[in-house]
Amino acid sequence: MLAGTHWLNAALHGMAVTKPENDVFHTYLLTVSEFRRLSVADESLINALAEIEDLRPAFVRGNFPGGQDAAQRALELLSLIRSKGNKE
Amino acid sequence: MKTSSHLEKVRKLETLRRKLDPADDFELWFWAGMTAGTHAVNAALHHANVTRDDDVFPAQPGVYLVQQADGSLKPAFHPLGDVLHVGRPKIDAPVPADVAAMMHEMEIVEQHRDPCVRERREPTREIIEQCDNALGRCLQLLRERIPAVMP
Repeated sequence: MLAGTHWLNAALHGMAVTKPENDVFHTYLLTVSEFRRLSVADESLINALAEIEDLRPAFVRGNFPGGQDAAQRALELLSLIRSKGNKE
Repeated sequence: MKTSSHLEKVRKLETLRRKLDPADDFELWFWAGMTAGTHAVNAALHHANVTRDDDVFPAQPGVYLVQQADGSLKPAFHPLGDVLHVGRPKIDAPVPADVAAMMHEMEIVEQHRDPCVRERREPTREIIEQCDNALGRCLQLLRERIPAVMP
């Protein structure tokens, strides 16, 4: 999640959609308006991080069954986010 | 979540932390420690009957994921159970002194979260030691409250 957030911020800064002093911390802390604005820049990027964040309650804070599948899904999502953020 | 489940999380995260180098792997080491400490605080709050230990998972303050009849999880408003971080949400009920001390130790850890993990502050040796010592004291207080926690 943290790595994905940093990659997301790198991607958004790279697209000049956000400024370096305005990093996203969590997608769920964005206003609806800002979430929608960032989705215009790259909807799959924002949704990928949101999906990683949505895994946290059940599998990091909680012990819901299926942690291994959740981890695999998180890695897939991270790979997607990284591909967009790692463009230096 | 049940106290025993929090204790299991603490054990797993402590095992992970022992594999990490605090300086080279600072972000993961820190996050594992912070998460372990939060589980420890939740275990202690449940043990002290300050918060509920229902098997529901915190998503946002006041919102928990609750298992449905079909096995899926659905967000719902729910009375205070697990906290997400110390202070989130704030606990209005009286807290025993030892648990309050645990929460204070985690506040010492949490103050470094955004500057060192999200922003650009360098995690110095002093910061690493401060976090490690604070978590150590938190977990020691947990062991004193629940002696069967860890070997």
